[in-house]
Amino acid sequence: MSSTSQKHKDFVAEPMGEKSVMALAGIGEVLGKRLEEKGFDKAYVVLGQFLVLRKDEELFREWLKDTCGANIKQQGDCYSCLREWCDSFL
Amino acid sequence: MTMLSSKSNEEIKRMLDDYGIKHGPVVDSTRALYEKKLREAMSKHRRTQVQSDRTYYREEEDVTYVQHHRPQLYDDVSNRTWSDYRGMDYTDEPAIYRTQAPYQNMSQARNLPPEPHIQKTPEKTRLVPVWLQILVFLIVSGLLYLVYINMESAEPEKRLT
Repeated sequence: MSSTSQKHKDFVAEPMGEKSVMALAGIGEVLGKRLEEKGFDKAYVVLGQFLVLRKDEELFREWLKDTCGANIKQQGDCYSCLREWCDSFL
Repeated sequence: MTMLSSKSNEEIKRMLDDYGIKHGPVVDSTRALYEKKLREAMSKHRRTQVQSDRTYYREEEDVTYVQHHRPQLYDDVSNRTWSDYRGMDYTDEPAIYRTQAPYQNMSQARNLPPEPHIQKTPEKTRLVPVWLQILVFLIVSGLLYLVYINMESAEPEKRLT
């Protein structure tokens, strides 16, 4: 089990509201810009995509890689961040 | 070409189910992902179909012998560079002839499937592009040439002693 980052802990601690997509764990400036260009400018839009993919890890990872070029670690961080957020708030 | 992009969401959904690909609703934001997955599944399906057809042809004793050999041959062919061909591979070459000869005796129709397969796999498994190999070869031969020239200029001095 890998330890979670501060970003992850901050994100899963509260409802995401209008947080930017860059508030997601694994999504920094570069990936965040790419996602914004594709229309995913808020964290809740990525959440929407995560839910439409039925919260499936494999599908979400693949989608994230195709959409913004996230590597394995970034995919994993973003996935576990959203999954944990959903466990708490959805 | 099946033109996946012209199919409806419903048809994409049905195709995903046919290929056993787990998926969510097919909507605008997921469409591209599912089309990509379908394309991968379709090409994989075609490849496994062709291979299974090939094994279907051969039900003689040669089958197991050849099949054990083939993966080795393809691996060897794709990984080797020219310098390797000069040296050690003569032991393998007779094996190549041996396996192909029975095929040619069997029937002409069967000859065709093996050949494109031989041509395909080395290309697909090539890790280093050809131009790079040629470039490396030229650099190495250039260096050897320089060494050779330096050696030659040193010789007259040696003759004196």
